[in-house]
Amino acid sequence: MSGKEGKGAAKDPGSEPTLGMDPFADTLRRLREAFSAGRTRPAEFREAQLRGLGRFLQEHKQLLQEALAQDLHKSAFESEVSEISITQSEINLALRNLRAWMKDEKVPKNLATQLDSAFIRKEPFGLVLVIAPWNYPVNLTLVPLVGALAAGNCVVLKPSEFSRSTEKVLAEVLPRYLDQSCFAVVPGGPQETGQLLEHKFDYIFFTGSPRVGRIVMSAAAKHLTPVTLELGGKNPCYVDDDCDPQTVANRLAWFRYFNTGQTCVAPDYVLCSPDTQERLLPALQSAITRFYGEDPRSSPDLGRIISDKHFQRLRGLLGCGRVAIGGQSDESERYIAPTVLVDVEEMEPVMQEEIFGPILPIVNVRSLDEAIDFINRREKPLALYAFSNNKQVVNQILDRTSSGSFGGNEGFIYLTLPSLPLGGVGNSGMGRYHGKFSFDTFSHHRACLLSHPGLEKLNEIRYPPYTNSREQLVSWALGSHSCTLL
Amino acid sequence: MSKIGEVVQRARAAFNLGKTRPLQFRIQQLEALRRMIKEHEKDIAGALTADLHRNEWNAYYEEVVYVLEEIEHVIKKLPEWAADEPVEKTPQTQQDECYIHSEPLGVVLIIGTWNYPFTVTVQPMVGAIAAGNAVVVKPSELSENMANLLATVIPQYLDRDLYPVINGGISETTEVLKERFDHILYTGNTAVGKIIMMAAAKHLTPITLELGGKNPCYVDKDCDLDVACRRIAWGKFMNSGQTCVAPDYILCDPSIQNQIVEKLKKSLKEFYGEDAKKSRDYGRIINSRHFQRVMGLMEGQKVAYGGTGDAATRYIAPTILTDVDPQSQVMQEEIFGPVMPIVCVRSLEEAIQFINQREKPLALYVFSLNDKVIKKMISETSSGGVTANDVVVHNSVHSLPYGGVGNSGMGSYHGKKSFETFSHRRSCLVRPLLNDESLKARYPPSLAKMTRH
Repeated sequence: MSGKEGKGAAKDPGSEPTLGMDPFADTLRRLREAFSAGRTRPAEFREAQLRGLGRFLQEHKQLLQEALAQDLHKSAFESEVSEISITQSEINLALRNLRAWMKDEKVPKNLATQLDSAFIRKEPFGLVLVIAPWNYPVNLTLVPLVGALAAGNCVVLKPSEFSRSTEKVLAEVLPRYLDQSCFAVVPGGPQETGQLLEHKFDYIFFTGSPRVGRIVMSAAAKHLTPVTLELGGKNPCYVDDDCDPQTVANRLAWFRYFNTGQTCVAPDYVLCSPDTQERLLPALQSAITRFYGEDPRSSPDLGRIISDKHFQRLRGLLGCGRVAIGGQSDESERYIAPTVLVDVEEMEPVMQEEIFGPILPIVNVRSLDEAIDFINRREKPLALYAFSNNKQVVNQILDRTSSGSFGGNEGFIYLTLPSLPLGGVGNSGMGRYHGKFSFDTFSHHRACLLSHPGLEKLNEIRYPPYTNSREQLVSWALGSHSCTLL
Repeated sequence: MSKIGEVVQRARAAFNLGKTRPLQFRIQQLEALRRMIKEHEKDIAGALTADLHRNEWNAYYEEVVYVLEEIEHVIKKLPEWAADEPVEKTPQTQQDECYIHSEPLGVVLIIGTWNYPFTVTVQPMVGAIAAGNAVVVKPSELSENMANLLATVIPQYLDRDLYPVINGGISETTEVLKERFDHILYTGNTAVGKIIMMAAAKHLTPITLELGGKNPCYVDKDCDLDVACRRIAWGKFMNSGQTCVAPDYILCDPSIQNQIVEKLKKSLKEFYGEDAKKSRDYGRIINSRHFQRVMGLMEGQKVAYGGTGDAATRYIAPTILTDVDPQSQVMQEEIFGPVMPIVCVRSLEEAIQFINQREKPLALYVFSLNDKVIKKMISETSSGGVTANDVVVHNSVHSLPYGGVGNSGMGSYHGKKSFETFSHRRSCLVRPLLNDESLKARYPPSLAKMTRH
């Protein structure tokens, strides 16, 4: 716990890049000064920021929908349900509960401290960096922002450069609604992100891939910055023989093809017996046709792939196994049809990386045990799904595997409950958020004990010298249920 | 594969067998740990005496008792903590089961340190075991006797595959850190904390870092100085100042500096006699390097009490420095020794500013009879934890999380927080697989749905 560095000294600015070469130094200094001055502490200030964010959403809903349509060909319905509404709900929840969340949390005391006041004080960390991805560029940028603002931090937002139109709206319009002495948007690509990460932040919230998650955590390590990493993985979906194939297919198809499969909690692949596969395939075809029509390409409800690079990657995956449904693609539109692949081998590329597209491979297993082994041989995913009429089967999958979250007979509908946090485990991430969990994530939980200056007599026993009679007390205490005399 | 690699693999294989899942197993292991402590209390005290010149009393009351209490508390509460936690549902999910399911993370690494070598190594184990993990323990090699004791007794009481003890120095620690763990809890210093976090980043391993800092102790003019100084002396000089939550330095108005010095001296004489070297209750510095370091911090300072040391026994007298210059070396690093600098400030505001110009400490102390002073000090600063009108004790309340912030660390543990730290809490929603009619509204095509704004 001791060291030769000047840790007790004034905070070390030495690790910051030199001024002049560094486009962010001024912005960050401004935000830090505002934080040190205490601007973000009062509840009124935080509420005003949250209201400002709410007004931004309301007043620019159409602009945002257009941006989402441009970036991802997202339908108005999807934009409403998975981006705007959900963000608005988080804002409303935070506004309703902020003062309660900010209150000191009293805790039970032990015998020795009965006369004292013990509580946990929630404090902002200071300067927070939120790095957001492109797939739900409104939701995944603004929902973390809600938590960071509610907790009283100053925030730097780094939206994804891939969702270009949304990035533009966030960079140009959003700041007008927030206090710019405490908030900044930094647009840009990997170079800008790298430069930002050289600086010291008091908390970093990152949503993206495990590969980049490692880079972010390594950068954070240089400054001992705590992090929440919302990453991804291959989310398995076990379909038991005992099920109604059409109901399963409806749910599976909806959650798989929503946002063209570009969802971190989407079912990534199916595990089922060959028999169930035979029943699922026509049911999936039926669901796809019902949702997107005979020609999914002309459906306003089916999105597009974010970029050429991802399109090429996904098109490559279409060569794995055998196409049972869909398989069409069009480069000019970055369109990929809702696709189901069968006869897929474990070592093929489609089973080696997170798909993040409208392709659903089915892998055959002969038993529940085989499915569980298959799942447990791989990295812990962000989500895991099990479909069965048999409760025991669902429970077995839950008990014998691990994942960020779990859906029994459903897809990621759990995201609509603010009482169920979203977060990964292992390769799929660390930390969690949504609702109050966001507020708690962006707060330091400070343990506080207000002791009584009086009643010193009670403390006598803890002071040296430790005479023989005390030693007898030790033997007695050891023999019985121990109690602390502190 | 290296020997260390084999040990970790064995722990993982044992974990994968599912042995630790039943609560009964975990409770049995905790009960065995408790038996181990009670049956070897003398050996534990002996190791502490050899490493740090502690005695049976403070071995119990400053180390062992914390762990025994933790075990007691955890065994009692485990069934409640491990149970699925139902959560509030929305109108659309009334028919569903919505809950948070706690699961073990897998294989946890606990890296201990030397100052409370028993507690900081074993107390985290309690939570890790309770949460159902396998636990690899790496005690600090600087507290050599304790490291050897733990390596000997733990395997006699706990499952040998699941809870191995790995001893060694820097190269063994580096070797261990190459392995993949599901959580790492490290207690130690900031520099090594960064190395641990870097190593953890390679595997995306979540971490808890219990580090340190310079814990300020503000003594207000409006205060019962006798009581304050007694408590401060107790917390500062226990274990010869080698306590991560010890008050590192005092901030006070110049008008009370002399009184503080006198009252600290009075308490020190009561505790340790005229010559602390002769007291059975006064500790020694862990090794020569730290001895030299702490002695060096006194150079050029105004010594109001103590100021001497004996290299042969690594004894440093309880020392008080006055009118300390904030730029001097003793104010640049965590002291971790029995040297108490007093820095004069002219107001509460100045004290707050002084504290805020520095890295966030692990603990912060404020002594005052005036609630407003306490309130202001707490609201305008940050630290891992705070005790007002006493020192160290916030550590002993199991319902309070124990951890740092900023340079003093991240994450926390103790009591239920340990269980949470070492568990994955998985969000679950289970719906009956009924007919879909009620869910129709969510499926495309959506054109019909977008009739309202």
